[in-house]
Amino acid sequence: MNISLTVNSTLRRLSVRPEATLLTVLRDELELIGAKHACDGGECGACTVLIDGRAVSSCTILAVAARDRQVVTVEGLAHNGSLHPLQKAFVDRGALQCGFCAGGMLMSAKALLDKTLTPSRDQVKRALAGNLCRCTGYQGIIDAVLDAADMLRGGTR
Amino acid sequence: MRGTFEYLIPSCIDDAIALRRQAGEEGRFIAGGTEIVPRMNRGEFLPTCLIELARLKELSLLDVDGGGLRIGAMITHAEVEGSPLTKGPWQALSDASGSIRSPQVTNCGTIGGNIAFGVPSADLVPPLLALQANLRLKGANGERYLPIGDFLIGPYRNALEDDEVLIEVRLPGTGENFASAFCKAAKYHGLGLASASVTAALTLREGRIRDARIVIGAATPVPKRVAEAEGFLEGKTPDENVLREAGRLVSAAAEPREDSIRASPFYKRRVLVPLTERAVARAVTRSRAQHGEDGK
Repeated sequence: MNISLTVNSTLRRLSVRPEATLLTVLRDELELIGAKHACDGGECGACTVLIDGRAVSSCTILAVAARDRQVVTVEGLAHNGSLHPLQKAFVDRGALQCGFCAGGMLMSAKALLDKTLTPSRDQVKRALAGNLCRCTGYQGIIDAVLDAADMLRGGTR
Repeated sequence: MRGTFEYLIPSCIDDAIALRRQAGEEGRFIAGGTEIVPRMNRGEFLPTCLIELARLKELSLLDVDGGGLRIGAMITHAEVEGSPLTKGPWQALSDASGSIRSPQVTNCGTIGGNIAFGVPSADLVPPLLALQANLRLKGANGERYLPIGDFLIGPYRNALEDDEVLIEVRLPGTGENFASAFCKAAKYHGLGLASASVTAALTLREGRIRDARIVIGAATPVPKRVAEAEGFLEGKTPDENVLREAGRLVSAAAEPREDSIRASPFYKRRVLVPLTERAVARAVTRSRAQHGEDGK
């Protein structure tokens, strides 16, 4: 099926098979491998991307169902070679070990910070509840998201 | 890995119904995809024809209708939880949508999919039973309304005819001093798939419970009302002993599967007692908070 979708601000015209998930199209057709292929069942959050600003597991949505939407992947976070405040905060806080979950964590955090720059710790936890990390114990990740919110507000922590 | 299929994009409800009719038994509707796409990925569900519903604007309305509420089948869990309309008397519904762990699911999963797919642990179904939801169905032969209790025939089975679509959920208006609450036990701080849930909807008049509706979720083949507990609560003052006895009656009405996955039958029966106490107490508190002294 022929579809268009905007990925990281670039309009893409693609021919996709109906059974292809958005995840497989991103990874195999567009070579955007920041969204990870892990549980394939919407359980782990490693494949999280934004669709029209909302966090979605790209493994549970067919590519054709995302047609004409705005998709942002973790590759779309940095601008002109400089990291997004969330990415900087993840580095500064050591919010990753193996890094496999980080792309999804960043996108869920981005969806939250696009809605509010003054999230409570609980709101951060709630926003990340669909993302599993098997290394860090989450504390560094939550701290990093709160740091990034501070940075985006123009403050310091 | 898995086979291909036809993916059909209808332009309106009638078109969806016509496509379903043409496709015959092979045709299946797809809503948010959060249940069936994972099953397709695992090779457990191999459709030959999928008909998309998610983009139909006619199925995406959420508004007040008369004294009641009208929720389009493609309204997502996030929209149910986020709407100011699902508060007040209908708060059990908002509780249930808010109890789903991941934003990735609540942003895609729909109320219509939750009802029609028929998974026994569907969180929205128990509140809808307690709130006496009517389902508006449309097929080639016209429209009909069905109470949600008649819609659910068994696990993963519903009363939809082959060419029928679930269009919307209608919640009737509620009277003075009516309130509702949904409580569930689950992993991930109560945000995982339900091990068990209890929904209470009731009217509090002069300090006494009237017209209680108590629903078990995830501990029976399909969510069901517990007439014994409802009858027991009629006219009672909600003190500790009354709540505990209601919990005992709900627990006794459970029919957990012997091989249930998320929690043992023993655990489900046990946890239904405090869930009932909590749900009834919360509904009572809400009635007082929302309606003031009348409920005292």
